[in-house]
Amino acid sequence: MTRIFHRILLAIPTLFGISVVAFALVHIMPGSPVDALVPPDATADVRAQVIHSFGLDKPLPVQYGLWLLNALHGNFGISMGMRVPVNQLLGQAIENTLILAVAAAVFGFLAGTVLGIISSLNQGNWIDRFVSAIGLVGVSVPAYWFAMIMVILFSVKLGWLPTSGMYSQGQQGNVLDLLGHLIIPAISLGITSVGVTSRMVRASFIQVIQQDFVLALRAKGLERRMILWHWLRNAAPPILTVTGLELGYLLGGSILIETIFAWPGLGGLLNGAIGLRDMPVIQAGILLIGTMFVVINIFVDFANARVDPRIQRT
Amino acid sequence: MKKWIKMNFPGIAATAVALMVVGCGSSVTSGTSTNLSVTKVGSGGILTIGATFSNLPNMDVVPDQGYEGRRFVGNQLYDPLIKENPNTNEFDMDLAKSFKTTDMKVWTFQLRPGVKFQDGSPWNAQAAMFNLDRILNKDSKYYDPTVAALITGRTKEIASYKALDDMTLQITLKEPDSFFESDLTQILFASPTAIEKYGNAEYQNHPVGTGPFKVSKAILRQELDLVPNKDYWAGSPKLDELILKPMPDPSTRLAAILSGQIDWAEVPPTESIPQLKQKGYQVLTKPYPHVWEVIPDMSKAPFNDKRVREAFIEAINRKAMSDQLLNGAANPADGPMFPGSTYYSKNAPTYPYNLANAKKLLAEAGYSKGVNVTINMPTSGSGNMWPGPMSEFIQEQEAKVGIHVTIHQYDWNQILTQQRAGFTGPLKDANGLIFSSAPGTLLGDLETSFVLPEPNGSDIMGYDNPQLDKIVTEAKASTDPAERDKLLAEGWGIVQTDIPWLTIVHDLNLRVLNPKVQGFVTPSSWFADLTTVWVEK
Amino acid sequence: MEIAVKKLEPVKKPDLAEIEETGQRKRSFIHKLYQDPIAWASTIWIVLVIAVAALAPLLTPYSPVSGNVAQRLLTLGSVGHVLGTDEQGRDIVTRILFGGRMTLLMGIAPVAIAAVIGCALGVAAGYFGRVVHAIIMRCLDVFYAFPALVLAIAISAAMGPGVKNTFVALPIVFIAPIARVTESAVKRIKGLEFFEAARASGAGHWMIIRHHVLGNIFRPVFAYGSTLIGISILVASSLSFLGLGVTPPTAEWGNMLGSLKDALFTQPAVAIAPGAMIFLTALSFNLLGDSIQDALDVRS
Repeated sequence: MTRIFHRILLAIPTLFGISVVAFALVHIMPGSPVDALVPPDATADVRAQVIHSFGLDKPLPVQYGLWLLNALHGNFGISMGMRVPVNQLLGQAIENTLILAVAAAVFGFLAGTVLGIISSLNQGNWIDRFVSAIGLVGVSVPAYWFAMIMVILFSVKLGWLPTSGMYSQGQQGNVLDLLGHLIIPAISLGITSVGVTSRMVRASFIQVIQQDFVLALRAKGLERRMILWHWLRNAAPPILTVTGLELGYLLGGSILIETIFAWPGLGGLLNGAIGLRDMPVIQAGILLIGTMFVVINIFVDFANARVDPRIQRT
Repeated sequence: MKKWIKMNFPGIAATAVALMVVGCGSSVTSGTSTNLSVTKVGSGGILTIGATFSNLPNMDVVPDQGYEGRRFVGNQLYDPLIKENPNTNEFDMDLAKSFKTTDMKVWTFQLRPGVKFQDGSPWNAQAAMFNLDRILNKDSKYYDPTVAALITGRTKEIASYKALDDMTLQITLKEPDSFFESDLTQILFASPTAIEKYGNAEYQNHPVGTGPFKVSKAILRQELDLVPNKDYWAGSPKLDELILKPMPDPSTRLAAILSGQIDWAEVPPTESIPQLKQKGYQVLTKPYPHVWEVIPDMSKAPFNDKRVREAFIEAINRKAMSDQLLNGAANPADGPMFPGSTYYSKNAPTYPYNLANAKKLLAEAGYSKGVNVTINMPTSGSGNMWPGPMSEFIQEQEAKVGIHVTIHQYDWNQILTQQRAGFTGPLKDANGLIFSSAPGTLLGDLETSFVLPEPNGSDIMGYDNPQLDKIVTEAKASTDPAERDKLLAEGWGIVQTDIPWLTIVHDLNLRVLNPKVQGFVTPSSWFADLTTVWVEK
Repeated sequence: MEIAVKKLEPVKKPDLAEIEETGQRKRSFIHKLYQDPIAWASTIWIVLVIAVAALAPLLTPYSPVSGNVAQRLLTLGSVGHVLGTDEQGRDIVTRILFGGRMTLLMGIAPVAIAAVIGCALGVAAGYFGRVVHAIIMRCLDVFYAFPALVLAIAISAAMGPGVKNTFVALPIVFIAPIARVTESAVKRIKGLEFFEAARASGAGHWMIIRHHVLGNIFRPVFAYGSTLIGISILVASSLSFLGLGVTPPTAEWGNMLGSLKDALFTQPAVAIAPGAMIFLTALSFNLLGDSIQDALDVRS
C-alpha cells in the first residue's frame, strides 16, 4: 500500500508540471483567440468587453491560478470556439477516443498475441522471422499512409466500409454501424502495437516454455492447453504492462487518425482547438492526456506489483 | 539475400499489391455536367450535405464558421428584416413587409403580420426590440456581449430604435447611411420566449427562429439534423429532412459523395471534377462576389511602389491557374469585382498576363536584380479555396521575374488575427497576406476595406485615396439606390486602378450534387435557398 | 508511436577482466553486424537513399520546386515522368530524390541533438544522485508523460510551422527517453567495483565521467538511439503531413503525402508513392537498429 501511495506522491509534481506546460504552450502560441471572437470591424470597447468576459485581461500567473483552481473542481471553462462548456465537449470526446483506442488496443493485443505465440513455437525458423517482420512493418509504417491505402481499397474500390466519421447519419447508438466505422481507423491506429506486443509475447512465451517446471509438466504428459494456461498466468504481468502502456500511447497517437477520419475524439478536438487558438480546450486537452498517461502508468505499475510478487521486493 | 527477401517480403508485397490494385482503374475523361435541377417536379427526401467547416456552426443569431455558417445554419433557422436574394442579388422583403426612409437616417419598417416563431410565439415589434436590446443595449437584462461583439460591424451605425406600434419598428441611425440596407440582411431575429426560457448561455443549444428549418438534433462536431418549419411564412420547404455533416477535408468530402454517404459536397478537390462529371454528378459553378487576393503592405518596400504591385499581378498566369491548376473552378480576376457584377467597372484598367512588361516595371522601380517578399497564407478557411497549391503556383510564377516569394503558413484563425491587427502588428515582417473577400456582398464593403483604417475598418494596407473617400461619402449619403450603386461602381473602379489588393482569381462556388438532388437553383451569392430543394427516392 | 524503454540486463558482479574485453567486444560487434544479412540489406537501402539524395541534382533534369501546371497529376509511367507528376506539375521522382534529403535530416539530426542533451542530463542525474537526480528526473517526467506525437504537435503548433521550429520540437520529444536510458546505464556503472576504486583514488568528477562513464554508456545509448531514428522519421513526416513541419515548396516525403492527399481518389498510385519511401526508410532504420541491438547484446 505504501508503494502505491509513494507513487502517487511522486506523480503530483509531474501533474503540476503538466498543468504548467499545458498553460504555457497556449500562451506561447502566436495569435489571440479574441480575434476569432471579435471581427475586424468591432469597436474598441466591444473588444475590451469580450476580453474582460473571458478574464484575459488579468496577469498571467493569476489566469493560471484561476484556471488550475477551476480545473481541480472539474470546471474547465467555456470553449471560445464553440461557446459551450468545455466539459461538455470533453466528456463526449474522451468517450469517443476511448472507443477508438480500446478497439485499437484490442486489435493490437489479439493480433500481437497470436503472432507472438506462432513465432515462439517456430523459434528460429522462417515463420518466426516472417512474423517478426510483420511486427516491424507495423512499427515502421506511417499510420496515415496505411490509412489512405485502406480507404482506397475498402471504401472507394470495394465499397465495403465507410470513409470517415463515427456513425452514419441518424445511426447513433447502432453498434453494428459503429463497428463498421471503427475497423479502418482502429487497425490503422493499432498496427504499431502489433509489433511491440508480438515481440513481448514471443519472448515471454519462450521464457516460460524453457522453465524447468514446464518441462516437468510436459514430462508428466500435461496437455498443451494447460501449458498455455500456465504461460498466461506467468506472462500476464509483462504483457499487461505493455498493453497498458500501449493504451496510453494510443490515446495520444489517436490525434492523427482522428483528424484523418473525422473521428470526434479528444485528439481531433485538440487539433481543431489548436487551429482555433481555443485556449480553454487546448489547456484542458493537454492536461487530460498527460494526466491519463500518468494514471495509466501508475495503474500498470500497481497491477504489476499485485500480480508479480517478485517486484515488491526490489 | 534470400533471407532478407523473406524477412521483408510482407512489407514489399503489401506495397506492391497496394500499388497494383489502386493503379488500375481510375480513368479520367471529361464529360458534361447536367444540371437537372429545374426540369422535374416533386418534393420530399432527405438531403445530407458535407460542408467544409470542422464543427457545427453556432446556432445563436450570429453564426460562426464564416459565411458557410450563415448559408447552412443561420439563414435556415432565422430570418432578417430584409433578405438578400441569392439568385438575383436584390433585396427582398422578409420579416419586414415594407420599409420607408426618406433621409437614409430614420428607417421605418412595417413588420410582416401573421408570422410566428417556431415555438409559436408571435413576431412583432416587441420581439424585434428584444433582439435589438440583446445586441445593443448594455443595460437590458438579456444583453449578450459575445453576440453583440460579433454583429457590431452591422449595428454600429444604429443610434436608437423604438416600436411605433405593435407591428411598426423604427430605427434611427447616427448619420445618413444608405449602406444600412445590406447591414440589415445579416441581423437575425430569435424568439424572445426561448431566450428568456433558456438564458443567453444555453439558448444556442435550443435555437428558435422564424426560418424555413428548425433543429431536430445537434450532435456537436458530427451532425446537425434540421427539419422543415411547416408553418414558414413563405411556404414550407420541400425536404423531409436536412442533415449537415462537418467535413473539413476535401478528399473526405469527395470520398463521401462517391460512396453515397452524402448527397451534396461543398468544394471537392478540383482534380475530381472530370471524374465526377463523367459519373453523372451535378458539378455546379457560378460566379459570385468573391475574390482571392494578396493584401500587400503598401507602407513599406517593395509594395509601396505601384509598379511592383502591377508587376506582381502581371507575372501570374491567372488563366492557367484557373483552368489548369484549379480545373476550371475559378475565373481569372481583373480586380475585386467579377464581370457581371453590378459594381464591375468597365473603364478600369485590367492587368493581363505579361512577363515582359512585369520585368520592365520591376526594372523601372529599381528591382532589376530581383526582390524578396514574404507572404503569410492561411491553410484553409471559408472562401480561401485551395491556398496551398495556389500560393505555390504564385511562388513559381513570380520567380520567373525575379520576385522571390517566401510563404509562411498559418491557421485561418491566426491569419484573421493578423489581418485584424494589420501590418503593424503580427504582420510586421510580412509584405503580404493571402486572403479572400466578398466585395460587394455588403454595400459598406468598399468603405470598410479601403476607406476606414483599423481598428474601425480593414484598410490595413496603408492605402488612402481622397477621391475614393469622397465617392464613398457621397454614396453613403445618397437617397437614390441607383445613384448609390453607380457611385459604388465608380469607387470599385478606382480600387481596380490603384491596386491596393493584388487580386488573383474569383472562386466559382464549386459544389457537387448527387443526380437525385432536384430543385436547387445555383446561386450567384455566398448564400443559398434550400427551400426549393428535394431529393428523388 | 511508442518510445519503449527496453530494460537493460540485470547486473552481473563484474571483475576487471571485463574492462579488457571491451576492445574485443568492439571487434566482435562489427563482426556480428557483418554476418547479419538484415543489417546488410537495411544498410544498403539507407546508403542508397543517402546517395541519391546527395546526388539528386545530377540524377534528374527537373526542378523539385517548380513545375508545369499543364502537366499536373500525370499517372504512373507517363512519358518522361516514371512516377507521374504532382498537383503543381512537378516530377514525383525528382521530389522523392530531393525529399530524401529533408527526411533523412529530420530523422537523424533531432536524435543526434537529443542524444547530446539527453546524455548530459542523464549522466548528471545518474552520477550526482540525490537532489540533482530528483530535479532532473522529475522535470523529465513531465515531458515523458506525453506521447511523442502529441508533444511534437503541441510544440510545433505553438512555435509555428517551419523546419527550424521542427528542429526544436523533435529533440525535446526525444530528450526524456534518452536521458532515462543514460541515467539507467550510469546507475549501473556506479555499482561496479572499478568505479568505487576510481572514486577512492581521489580522481575528480570530470575525470571519472570522461574516462569511465562516457565510454561505458556509449553502447546502450547508441543502441537505443539507433531505434529512435525510425521513429523520428515517422514523427517528422507526420508533422509535415499536418502542415506543421517542412513548408512548401520544399520537397519532403511527409508534406508530399499531405498535398497529394486530395488527389487520392483520382490518382491513387501517385498519391501513395512518397508514403512507400517513408515506410521503407523507417523500416530499414528500425531493422538496422534491431541488428545493432542484437550485436551489442543489449536486449531484454
